[in-house]
Amino acid sequence: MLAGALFLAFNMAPTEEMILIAFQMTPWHALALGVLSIVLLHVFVYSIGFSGQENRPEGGTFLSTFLHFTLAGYGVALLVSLYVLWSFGRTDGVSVAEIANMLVVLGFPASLGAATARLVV
Amino acid sequence: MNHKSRTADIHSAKAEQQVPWLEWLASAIGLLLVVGIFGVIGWQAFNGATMPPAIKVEIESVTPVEGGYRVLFRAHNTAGEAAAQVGIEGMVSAAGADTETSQVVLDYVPGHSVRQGGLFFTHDPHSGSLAVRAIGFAKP
Repeated sequence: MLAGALFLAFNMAPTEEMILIAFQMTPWHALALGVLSIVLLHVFVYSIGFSGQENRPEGGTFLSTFLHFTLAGYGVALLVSLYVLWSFGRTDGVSVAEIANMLVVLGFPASLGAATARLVV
Repeated sequence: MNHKSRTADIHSAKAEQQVPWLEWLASAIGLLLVVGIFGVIGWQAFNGATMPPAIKVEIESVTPVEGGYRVLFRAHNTAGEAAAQVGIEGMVSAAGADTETSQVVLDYVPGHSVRQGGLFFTHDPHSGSLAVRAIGFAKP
């Protein structure tokens, strides 16, 4: 998941559009995009039925699967986004709130990358 | 033989114990990050994230360089919304000389954030009065 997230985030972070989108979004847009990323990450890996789809672990309820794999995966995506943004100097002098916006924007492709990597590997 | 299989049992038991522990740690970190990020974004939703930009310019240093003087400044956006194409203008007005104006455009100044830049002058800003201010911005 880390490799997939890094693969997509690394391509997008250097572009100006990522931070431009973050600046243009209101907080409500950012929240909606964050929720969408988490839902897509979960659905891609466990529900849609792409080849390589994972099954819920034995005896795993929806909640425990969601907590253990999806949230952990989204956390990985966010951390990767933060690392990539930081290493490209996008976070210099920027307030925490704007960094959070950028993370959610970049976290969207990163989480899709993480989901894809999960399906492929 | 018997002994060997027993150690294998112990190993697999250990592995079974270790995996949930790591999983819990990973999911706890993920949960913390998600709650933290959503908390910060939710917080700014109620704390003026949509206030139009207000840009305050502070002079950091004035240094003689080849061909003139370099004035470094920090542009601080004190409101929540990001500003694009922020024009910064500096004026040096010395007694008995023409006023010298220099301009620069900063691409973005995000909300509650700081961007740095510099202006060049041919007259010594120390000889007269130096004023640096933001002259305008565009919505990103």
